[in-house]
Amino acid sequence: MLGKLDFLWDSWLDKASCVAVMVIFVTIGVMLYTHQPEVSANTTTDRSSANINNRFILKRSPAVEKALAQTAKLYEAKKYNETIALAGKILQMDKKEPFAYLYLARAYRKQGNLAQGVANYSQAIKLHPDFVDKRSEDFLGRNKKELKPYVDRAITISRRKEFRSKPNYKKILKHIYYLQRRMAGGCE
Amino acid sequence: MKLPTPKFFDKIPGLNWSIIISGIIFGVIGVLLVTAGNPKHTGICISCFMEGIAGSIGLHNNPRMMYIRPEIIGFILGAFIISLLSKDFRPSGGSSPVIRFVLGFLTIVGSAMFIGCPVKMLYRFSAGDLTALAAIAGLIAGVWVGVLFMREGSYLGDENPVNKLNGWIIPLCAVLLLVFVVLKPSFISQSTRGPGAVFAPLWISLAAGLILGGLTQRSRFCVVGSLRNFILANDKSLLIGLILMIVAAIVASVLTGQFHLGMYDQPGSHLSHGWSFMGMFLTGFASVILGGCPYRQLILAGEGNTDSGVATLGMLAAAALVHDWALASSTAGPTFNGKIAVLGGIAFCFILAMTSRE
Repeated sequence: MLGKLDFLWDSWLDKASCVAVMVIFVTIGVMLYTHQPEVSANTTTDRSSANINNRFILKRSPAVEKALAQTAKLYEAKKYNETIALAGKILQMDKKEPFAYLYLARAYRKQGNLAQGVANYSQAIKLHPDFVDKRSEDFLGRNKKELKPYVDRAITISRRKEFRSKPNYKKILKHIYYLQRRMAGGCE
Repeated sequence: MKLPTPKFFDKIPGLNWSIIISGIIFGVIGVLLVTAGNPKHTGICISCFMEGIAGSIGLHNNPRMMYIRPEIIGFILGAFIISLLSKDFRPSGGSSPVIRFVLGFLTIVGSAMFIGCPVKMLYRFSAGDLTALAAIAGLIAGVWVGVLFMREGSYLGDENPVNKLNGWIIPLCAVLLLVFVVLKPSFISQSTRGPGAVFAPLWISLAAGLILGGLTQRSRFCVVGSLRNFILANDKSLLIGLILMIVAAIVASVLTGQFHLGMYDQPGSHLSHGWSFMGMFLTGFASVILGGCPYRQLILAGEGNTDSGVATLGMLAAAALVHDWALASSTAGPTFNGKIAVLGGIAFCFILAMTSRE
């Protein structure tokens, strides 16, 4: 029945390769079926804008869009408590809004709450990895000097025996290691 | 004039001083470029540099990856000049060009999964980054599978001599890029932050590229080629160059204070080792079918091989689309799209290798 495709079964290599290809296709199928896109982002051609929201068009409700613009203004005005409150309200409207988490991360960090800053930043990455991790400047550049002592301290604490018994130990460690890698720089 | 060689090297057929010198200089220059200003662990990286060029000429919109890397220009022009002088410049082509475009594309997709091409993988390892070990294993596995198919007769077809102008196109494109770097016309973008804003001085980068391009044109230095020749024919000549490159890079990293052994706190890395393995497996597999790693494709394109020129264009297209389609990994790890692309690429390589028997 295979006719001209008989050669595919000539050797063990062909048989193994056919199995490998089938496994790959099944894996891709399962991955696509189980994957739920968190956000749908369409890039625009605007590369000049300094406003991060302008570079991506996310499918947002007008209310969220308006609240987000207000959050940005509050953050720029250094009103971090208000920023946190409004970002929290946005997440009540849409719990998958990455920029709400991003502003939460920034505001908490500015208040000196690094743990909350990193946790919210990680959530933003999870929701929008292409934009947030590669294109934002959080935890990079000038922030690096300010944050390095905290991260070094966190690493030291994480090595203590008593810390290992804490709940969420692995999750916290993952955040710390991520931050450490990001601050290390490099080309990505 | 033939240079005298120590007796030890006489025992290894095909080994010559050019591969020894190339290996050592390659290792040292890559580390020194970081000292001169390139991003950490990225003295030379074909995928990162191609991404920078793609962004700079407007093919993607990641503002952190926009810079025309003079090293790439140097590799092509160094190989071009030396091949002209040594009468090695022989324009040829016509061996499955479209497939080569796709394979060139896939080498960069695999590299973007790991965050670095095979050359950068070795620099990362030499600087103590143990996350590169998974990628090294993946590259060796990919080359090994490719060699299995080569033994069974997989082949993309013969190259034929072509009109000389064909061979000049890629070097002329490199000259055009050099003009862009020097004159900085308004349509060329330049990162003001991120890795694209971190670079060695222009003339140092260009000189490094020219030296390495010329040297490796003579020595045939190739990361994938050295592994392939060793697995296929137990030929150690290129592998010696590769080992010397790693040793030289380790020594240079230690001397310049760049060596930091460990799995964590490594620049431009992630901890998804399985995907690093798969990414480099794809790069190794695709490179064996192509006949050389991404670096080697640039050198071959410089000496007039239009098939490698087409692969280079595929690499450039991929360098743009890994950003536009969110295929490239970051320190946070691989993306979903990247995982699908790598798996699809591996399936493509298997099907291609099975169906391209002579």
